[in-house]
Amino acid sequence: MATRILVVEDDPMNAKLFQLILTRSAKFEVEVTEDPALVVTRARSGGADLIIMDVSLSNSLWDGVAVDGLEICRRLKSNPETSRVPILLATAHAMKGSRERFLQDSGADDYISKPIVSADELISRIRALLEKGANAAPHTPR
Amino acid sequence: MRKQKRSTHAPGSTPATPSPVSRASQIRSAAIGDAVVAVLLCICVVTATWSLGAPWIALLAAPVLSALAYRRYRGRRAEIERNHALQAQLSIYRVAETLAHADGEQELIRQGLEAIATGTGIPHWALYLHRPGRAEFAVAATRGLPEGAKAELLPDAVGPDARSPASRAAWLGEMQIARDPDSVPEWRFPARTEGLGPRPVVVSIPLADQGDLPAVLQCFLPGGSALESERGALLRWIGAQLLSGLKRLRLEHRDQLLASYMMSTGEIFLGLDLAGEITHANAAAEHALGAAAGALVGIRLDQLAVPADAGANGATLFDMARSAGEFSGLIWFVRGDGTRFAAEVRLSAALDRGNALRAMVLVGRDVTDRHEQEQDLRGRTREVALVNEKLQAVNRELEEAQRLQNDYLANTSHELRTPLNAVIGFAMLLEQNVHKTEEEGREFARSIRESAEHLLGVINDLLDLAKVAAGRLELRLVHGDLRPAIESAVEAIRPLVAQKGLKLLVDNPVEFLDVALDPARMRQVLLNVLGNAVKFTDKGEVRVRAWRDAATEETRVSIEDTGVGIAPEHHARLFRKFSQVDSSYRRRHSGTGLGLVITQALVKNMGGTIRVESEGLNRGTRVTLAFPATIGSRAEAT
Repeated sequence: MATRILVVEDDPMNAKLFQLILTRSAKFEVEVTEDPALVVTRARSGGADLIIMDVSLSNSLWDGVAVDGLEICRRLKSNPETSRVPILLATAHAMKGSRERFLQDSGADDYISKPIVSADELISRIRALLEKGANAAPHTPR
Repeated sequence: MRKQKRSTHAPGSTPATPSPVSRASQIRSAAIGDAVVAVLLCICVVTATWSLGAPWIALLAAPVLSALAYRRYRGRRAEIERNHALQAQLSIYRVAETLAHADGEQELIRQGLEAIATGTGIPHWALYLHRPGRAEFAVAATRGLPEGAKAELLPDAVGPDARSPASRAAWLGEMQIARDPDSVPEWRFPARTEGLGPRPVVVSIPLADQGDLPAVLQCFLPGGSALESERGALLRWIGAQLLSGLKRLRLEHRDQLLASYMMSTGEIFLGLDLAGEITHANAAAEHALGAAAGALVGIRLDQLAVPADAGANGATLFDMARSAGEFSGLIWFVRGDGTRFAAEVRLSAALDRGNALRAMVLVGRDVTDRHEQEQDLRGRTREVALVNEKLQAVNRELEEAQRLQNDYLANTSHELRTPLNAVIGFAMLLEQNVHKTEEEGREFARSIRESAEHLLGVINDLLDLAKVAAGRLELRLVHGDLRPAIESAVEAIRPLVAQKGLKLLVDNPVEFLDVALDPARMRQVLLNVLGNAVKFTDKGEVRVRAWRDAATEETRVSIEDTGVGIAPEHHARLFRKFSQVDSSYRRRHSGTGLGLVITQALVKNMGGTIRVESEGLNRGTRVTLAFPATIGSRAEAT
């Protein structure tokens, strides 16, 4: 069964790009959404083996309240039913210290900055997270 | 002057007072004289009668003459006694007067002992005193005693174990009569004193008033002398006179010290009676209050002074001091000319020996300088606080500016990286030749172009913003019609409106809307405002209206939507760089947040104004642009 990647991304162009890279170069199954409810559903049901999470989200509402990618991460990681799913933050917020701050704030597993300049690097990061997830005990939120 | 007057009472000028011995001899000589006269008269009478041949008459005359002589003797004796009594009274009066008027303590003691010796006829005296400020009890003066007597009379300590007559009298507070001084081995009587036997009677008279350290007056009588009760009383009386004289001198001395202090001090001193009227005022008080000498006496204190911190009940200074027993604090003194000054005063009760309130005393000083300094200091403290506050505000502003600058950089970076991601990504895909069809390849290329165009837009915004910040936004203004710019912007936005299912209502007038404009920039302004309206409206309509305001001759464009609106607290942030009103990462609407800043600058550069109104969240927004009438259109209107 192919590995399923859920891409949480509000920019259609970037969403499409992720989809193309991940399906053509790595043969992953890719689903794109910006709806936090769908993210939770997939994470809980095992419908996603890994989540690529944008930080700035324009249209994501959780119970009617606007949330960003960091907040969605926090909620997923604090829920035992969803905390096992590895999350890779992919964001254009790439100032000095952003990586550390975001990882600490959100409990996400890894961080990659946009623009993504190498498809291979993206894929190898994903693979590393998948293997780590498979070998290690469930992730405990901070 | 007083001294000279007083000197007439010096003992030297006092007539010699007859001693008891001389009084007896006077009486004796009077009796003898009278008897001799009587005998001579008798002889004369007997001789005469014998010669006249009637000797029996002589027998009759002799007893008559004797009786007459005796009567004369009685009369003379009474006169001598009266004279003596008068002399004694006079000498006692001399003692009292000397003691009442002597100027210094040494003088009083010396002259006093002299007068006492003369007045009492007792020549030998000693006076023992506690020296002021010293505990020791010692001989202060002697009279009629030999040189070394002072050392020999040295008393022991006053107390229950005192043995010397003076110390015992001082301790017991009663007159002591020692008939056998040798019975006191610790105390030797001065030997070989002329006129006194080896064993004199020592009489010690304590001069003690309540609470004072006692003094003792001592006299020495020849051994075996008796002390009649009248003489004892006289000695006590003399002791009391001496004591009051000494006390008077000490009080006078204290008064002089106080008076000279009051006169020379810079402190304000006022004595007050119990009604609050001034009875004494020193020079400092008169000077401070600008009053002539003596002018303050009789004035009520409350006419001159008010407490700086007057109580709520409106009590006067004097009332406050009377009721509390004293007042201590800051007051205002008011001068006759109405000016006033601050004074730090203490108003306290003057009590007599029985603790009864007799007067009030105010002591204080002008603290104008200090008061002003304090005021000044307070003012400066306030200034410093203000400066500090300003500095803190500036600091906060700087921090805020720094934060905004950091945000600006982070946002700029984000806005550039997002389209760049698509540019690089799709280029990468093309390069890797992953496209399945030629059509898909063209699609990748189109994505690259669109993203690059978006990137260009961001760069243009950033450049515009930089120009705005540098004040170098240059427009090429021409007179022209505003309507084409509106139509062009509306047409550009239509696809997005349709995509979101909104209604777009445009109310463009038929007449020429003459404004000074840079057409491309005007289109940019309108597109930005319209774009915002559409972006922030999910359902309902966007209404565009343009008109010429008849009253102001302004050309106005309003763009009104039924969208999310703006919370009142966010209005202030509208025209800030990168500040979409919700600036967290979860902002619901893409965009750099630069548009309104640039738009505002453009509108301003075309002479116009922009106003953004919203009644609150989810209540829509109305943006009104207003441009002034051009000279040409005004000319047309007139």
